[in-house]
Amino acid sequence: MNGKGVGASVLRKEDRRHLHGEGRFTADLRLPRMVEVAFLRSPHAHARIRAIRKPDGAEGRVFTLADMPEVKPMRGIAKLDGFRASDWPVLAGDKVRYAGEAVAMCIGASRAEAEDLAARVEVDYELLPAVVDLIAAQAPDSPIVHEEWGTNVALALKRDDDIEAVAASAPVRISKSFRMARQGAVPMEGKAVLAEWDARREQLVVHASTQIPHITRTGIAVHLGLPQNKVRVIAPDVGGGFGAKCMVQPEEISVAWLARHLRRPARWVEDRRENLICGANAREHHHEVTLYADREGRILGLDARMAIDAGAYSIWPFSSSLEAGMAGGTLPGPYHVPCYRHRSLTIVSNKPPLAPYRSVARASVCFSLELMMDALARELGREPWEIRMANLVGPERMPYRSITNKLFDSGDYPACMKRAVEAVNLPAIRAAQASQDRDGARLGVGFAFYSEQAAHGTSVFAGWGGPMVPGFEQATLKINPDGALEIRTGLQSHGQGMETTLAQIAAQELGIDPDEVAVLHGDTETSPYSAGTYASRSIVMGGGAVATGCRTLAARMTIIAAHLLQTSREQVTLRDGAFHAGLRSLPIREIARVWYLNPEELPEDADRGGLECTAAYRPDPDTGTFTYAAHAAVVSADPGTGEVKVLDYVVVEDCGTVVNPMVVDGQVYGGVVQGIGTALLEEMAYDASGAPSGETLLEYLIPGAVEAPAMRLDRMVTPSPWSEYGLKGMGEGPAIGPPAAIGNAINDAWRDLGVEVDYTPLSPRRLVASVLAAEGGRPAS
Amino acid sequence: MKPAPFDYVRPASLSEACRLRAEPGAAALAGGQSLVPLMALRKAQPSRIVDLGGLGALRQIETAASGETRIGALITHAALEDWEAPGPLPAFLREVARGIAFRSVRNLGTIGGSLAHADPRADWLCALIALSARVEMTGPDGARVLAVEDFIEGPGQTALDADALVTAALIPETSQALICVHAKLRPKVGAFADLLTAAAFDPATGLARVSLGGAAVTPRALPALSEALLRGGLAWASAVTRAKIEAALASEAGLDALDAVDRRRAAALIERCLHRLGERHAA
Repeated sequence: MNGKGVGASVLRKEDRRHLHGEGRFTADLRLPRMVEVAFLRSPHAHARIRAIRKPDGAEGRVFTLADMPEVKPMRGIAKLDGFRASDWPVLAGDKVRYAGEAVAMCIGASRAEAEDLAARVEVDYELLPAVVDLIAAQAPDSPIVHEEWGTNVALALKRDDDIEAVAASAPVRISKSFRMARQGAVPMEGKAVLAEWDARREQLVVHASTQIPHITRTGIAVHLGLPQNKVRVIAPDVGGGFGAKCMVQPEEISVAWLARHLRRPARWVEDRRENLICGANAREHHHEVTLYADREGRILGLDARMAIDAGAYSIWPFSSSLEAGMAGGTLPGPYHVPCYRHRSLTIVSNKPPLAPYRSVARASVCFSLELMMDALARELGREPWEIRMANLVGPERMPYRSITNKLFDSGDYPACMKRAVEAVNLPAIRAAQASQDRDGARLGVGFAFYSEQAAHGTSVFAGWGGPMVPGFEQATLKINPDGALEIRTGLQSHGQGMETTLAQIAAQELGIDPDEVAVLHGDTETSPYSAGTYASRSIVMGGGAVATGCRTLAARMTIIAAHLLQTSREQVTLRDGAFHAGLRSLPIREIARVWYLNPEELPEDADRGGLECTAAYRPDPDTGTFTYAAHAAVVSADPGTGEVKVLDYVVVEDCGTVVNPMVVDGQVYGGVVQGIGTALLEEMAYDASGAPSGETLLEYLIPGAVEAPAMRLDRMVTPSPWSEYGLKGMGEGPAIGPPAAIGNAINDAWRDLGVEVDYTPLSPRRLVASVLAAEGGRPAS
Repeated sequence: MKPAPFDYVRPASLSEACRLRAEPGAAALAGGQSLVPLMALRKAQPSRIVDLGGLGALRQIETAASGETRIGALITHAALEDWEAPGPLPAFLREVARGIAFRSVRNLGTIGGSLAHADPRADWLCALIALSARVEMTGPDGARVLAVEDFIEGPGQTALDADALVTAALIPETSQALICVHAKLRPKVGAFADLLTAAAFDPATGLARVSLGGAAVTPRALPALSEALLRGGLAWASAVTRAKIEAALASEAGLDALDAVDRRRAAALIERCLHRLGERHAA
């Protein structure tokens, strides 16, 4: 072994090009005769379109839905009882349902000229009252987003354990409500699409910034009415997605249509304003939670009503049901909860359609549940971590089937909790709190614990019944005539470092250097079909497929090697990239030479599949791996100004076997910072008309390097019993904990003031409002 | 987005610049750190950009015989951040400049542009008001000056005539005993502040001034607190409490737009600023 396989902190292969500015993103591509596209977007959240007037003389450069009758609207369905589907036309039809919805597509030689043209298009709007507030949207007198429904509830999921029986006898009852703001994923690279019609091949070639090239190909073909072999999707370098690029975008379909219609290349690159306004499609929950417990702090039951603002339309393919479904299924968290009742509502509004976002629903339910746990601790006069210890599922119960049928695979949750408590030195914090100055900023410590279902597959998604259910993950492996390995995957690395980690898995299996492995992704023409990169699935699924393929090739090469080494297959071992038998050895490149260039040396029984294979993998069971973690935040919170400083941040995480510790650490750092954004800064607010508050990063605040605290990471390793090597998906989890840990830390700091926060973001103005409300004996609004 | 079409001129003289700026649809461009982003969002659509970059005379800092410091309108924030002159006034200006946005903004943004743009969240406004500074405007009839707090009439609103340009910030003479502190509440580094304050105390010149500005406060001096600083001096500054400041704010004029939350935050911020003023003296 060369020490660069599973477990090695090797430098990422992709960093070189990015650090040298040599990455190639969709916006870096230009094609001859290319036109630039600008979308005219609705300034109104809810309006009927009476007429659209194209500027005189520019009729051939402005396109509306009426120009594209063959394009089907997107219909993100879910086969769940009572689910209401809606059509999302790729350009607005008779109505606009959110501010920023595309109304017309304008072209020019440059983006500026296309925007000049868009400014001359006249749209006659009839304004309608907008559905803006998640709670008001449920009122009987609310305006309705989709009139034909007669309601703004797209889906009501429920579970009905006998919580009344628990309520009748439980010694402790705590009820609270929580609100999490709407935010955006804000990847560094926004969306982008460049489409061309290849007349020679009669094929649409669509370059797109996406996490799911194969699904995008399917989606474009389905909505344009083309056979899928007439569409190729290429995702070059992709600068982040966080879930927002895990849907087929209306602009991708529109621009693909345009390129075919015009018979010339067309490009649209989302700017930051569009990214903020149209990409404000994450989180936004309202929870009312009641927790029942005994005096020892053991949970007896949970009763929750959760409403999620899913925006105007249902996205394709994951639908508008994803967030509420995850919320209902994951509220009980990592705890043993014997009784659980919930209502989880998907509410439509005049806002952008909700998309998956890093840690789908779980940052929000973790926030509510973990703040409830601290409230329980205060009620019982106990340390918050002690309450968690009383409820965490212990290692002796693994694998453990939770009350919502989540099958926790492995781990020692209580040990993880204890390590976090020790890492922050809780006694020292309590001592410092006791002696601090009462006038200024106050010290607080908060904990959050979560487990993260990841890499869940067919058995989970089939229950949703969306347009696409992920299945086996495939990888195509090819050893070239010079012995160098190529791995082709339909997964889409957009910052995860998969070009490195998948190569490390091949290095583990074949003993070759990861630097000599080419991981090729981002092109539907050259890779096997894949559901793509989301749900923290790629290293488990892709890693398993690569390992399986390597073993297939190793077995085939062993036959050839045994023949060439003039020994039996049983005598041949593969290590360090060569086949060994006694003192003799033959490197992989010799096998490759024989197969490709000197087949006369092959044995009669050489495998006809040769040095190329497509391997398929799915964990068994495929209900998901469960990474878990304890987060601890130490903050200084000033009740006068509302300023919160994160002084210390500890993450103790167990994501099973780690392929590359530096890559995992990077995911933790990035996820925590993103979670700090949710906790303290990020919010897209709307006025009563549904106009968004943030058009630039001056108004929509995201954490920068200065806001990122020094973090301390600790790792436990409990391999998953169900995945190759014991890997567990972990990309999303680090973003789950910070809102809960920081919220709890502020409540700890301001306990004497009678302040209990219950919202995100914990912005300075909101926090001071809570302080004033506590002083006045009023609840904060 | 991309800017709407516009013409561009770069006059070589101040009088020419004033004449061009007075034409309908014209906008003066200094460092462009506010105007250009607004144009990129098409929120500002000037038909003609009058680039002041050719007016080299506005790019100087001078000290007059009267002791007044004259900072040319085209002096960048970065130039003040890097200004190596000795004494407490340059030190204070360096400190204010260093806190403005990010260095890339400071490299281009100018003090004159900041004044003319009149964003109530701008750092210079509060700082200059605390120093009792004035704005020099030059038009076809020559120069006139106004106190900064009189020049700023509201968010984006100034007393500048349509055919005039801001040409300098004038800071009256200060002594070596000047103590000056500013503080602001901003949600993150580089972001606009919600609230800003500055306090200046110079027993040799009789300067004692506390200022406040922010999203909901047109930058202004706070007469009651300034008077208290003048009378109580640094001992008062060191000991004053948030509650006293909060009560004092209730009597200050022009703070009607401050709601209870921002009144509390402003009081806490001014307390921090005044305590630092006292500490600075002790140090």
